[in-house]
Amino acid sequence: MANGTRIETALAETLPLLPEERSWSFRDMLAVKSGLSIATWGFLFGGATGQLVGFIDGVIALFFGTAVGLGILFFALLLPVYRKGCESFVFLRSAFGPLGASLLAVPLVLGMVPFSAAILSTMAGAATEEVLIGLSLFSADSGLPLSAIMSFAVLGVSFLLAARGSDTLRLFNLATVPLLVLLSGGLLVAVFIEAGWECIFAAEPPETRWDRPTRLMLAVELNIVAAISWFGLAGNLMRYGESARAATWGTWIGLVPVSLLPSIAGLASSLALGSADPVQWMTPLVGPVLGLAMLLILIVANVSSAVGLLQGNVTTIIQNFGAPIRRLGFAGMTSILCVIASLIIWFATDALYAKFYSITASFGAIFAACVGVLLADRLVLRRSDANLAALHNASGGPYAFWSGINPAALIALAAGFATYIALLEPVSQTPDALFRYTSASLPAIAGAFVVHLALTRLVTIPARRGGYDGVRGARFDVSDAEPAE
Amino acid sequence: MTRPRPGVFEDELERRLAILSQGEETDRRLPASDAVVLAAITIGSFAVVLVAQAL
Repeated sequence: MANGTRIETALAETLPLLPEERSWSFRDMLAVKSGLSIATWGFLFGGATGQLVGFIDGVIALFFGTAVGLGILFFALLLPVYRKGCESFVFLRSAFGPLGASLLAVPLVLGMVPFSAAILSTMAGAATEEVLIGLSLFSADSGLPLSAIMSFAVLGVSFLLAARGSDTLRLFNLATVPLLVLLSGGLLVAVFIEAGWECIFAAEPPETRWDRPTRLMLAVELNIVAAISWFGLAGNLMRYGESARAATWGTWIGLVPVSLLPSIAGLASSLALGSADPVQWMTPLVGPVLGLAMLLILIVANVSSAVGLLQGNVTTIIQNFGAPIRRLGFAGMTSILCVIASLIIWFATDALYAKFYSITASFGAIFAACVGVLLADRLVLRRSDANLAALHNASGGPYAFWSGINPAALIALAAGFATYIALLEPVSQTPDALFRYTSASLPAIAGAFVVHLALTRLVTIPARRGGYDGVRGARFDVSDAEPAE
Repeated sequence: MTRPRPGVFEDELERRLAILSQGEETDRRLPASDAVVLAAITIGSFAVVLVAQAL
């Protein structure tokens, strides 16, 4: 029983959510997920897409690529995490084992989150610098590293908001999302007015050695991995939904069609104006007053996304890295991520933008393989059955496999990753001949799926590991034995 | 919304698991109709890409 020591509410919410904590309406979920997607990466993904294909193909890639990636992620991870109410990487223990899930959290959270937070803060910092210069508070040739300083300030504000927990996230996004929609819509209109519809539709991407179908699939692939990369964050935040339907469609709409607002602006501006970065062209395009207002909203957009990113992912770290990390508290762990992001901002800002596609695709290869393992485990091997209490037994129980690791899942992960790399080399972005028909993510998912299925049936189940014969005697069983109404 | 003041982490986990196991089971599954629509959108989206490539 409790010894009188209290833990903060935000920390408690990293645990399985209680029914009264799952209170977000469809509107709340839509606001939070929209706040995540209307941010720097919307413009960056749109801009990166515009480096591969023209406007029409770009819109196709942005919408349908994102829909493919997110749809698959729903069935692999988001829906079961919502059902259980547990943290996403805790759910991963049913496939990878507790130690396996924690190992995955190292690159997928500790690696990905600071990188993403740095991207958001860098653009917000650049926007803040422009605002300060526009208001004549500083001069452009002051010599101060103003952008970097402002990036740290944005990171600091995001930290303060994120550390306060889920209600702050929800309320902040409800308040700011209408502004973000106005911003992205306004930018889109401004680009079209400035460049002209005909120019944007006729604009060609830079010359490459690949044909149009291959370039289209490259653009689609970029957006598939972008969607899959929401991974645990989307699941952790989706848990707060009051109903499966509200949570699902609030998430889907917020991360798919709403994300088109900034990404199409980035696509159009990349094609017609030569840059997807709205900080560079916003003020010259719309004038100083409107430009400054839009820059301020852009800052808010990135803060809202950073808050969601931090709030949703710190949950993973708290749950999966043991008691020493938990003693830091929710705010302490959030601050560590912000420090790592600050180091990336200080030392590697240029690389963030220059290597954006490569970094995203590299992480995407891991995420895609994970998804394949999860689909096989959830849909075939366990038939959607997982035990909540057993998931939280990190030291033993049916999901312990071999010393906390499921070798079958990790081998399948490696197979999926290798499949991805064989079809698309992420650093040079060189596709294989088959890539244009299949993408890289889908075969990676399929490869991991098949290998995990085979190894589990041939090795893990005969060895009576992993609880595949059903978890008995636990306090809380949930199964999909009967179909839903 | 008022929230309970939680105890230590592991005790809080036990408390929550006990509540969730004893409480009335709320069906948190996505309705089958919604799942079908989601699957159709997902598969259809890739089909659209393949069609667009051929145009």
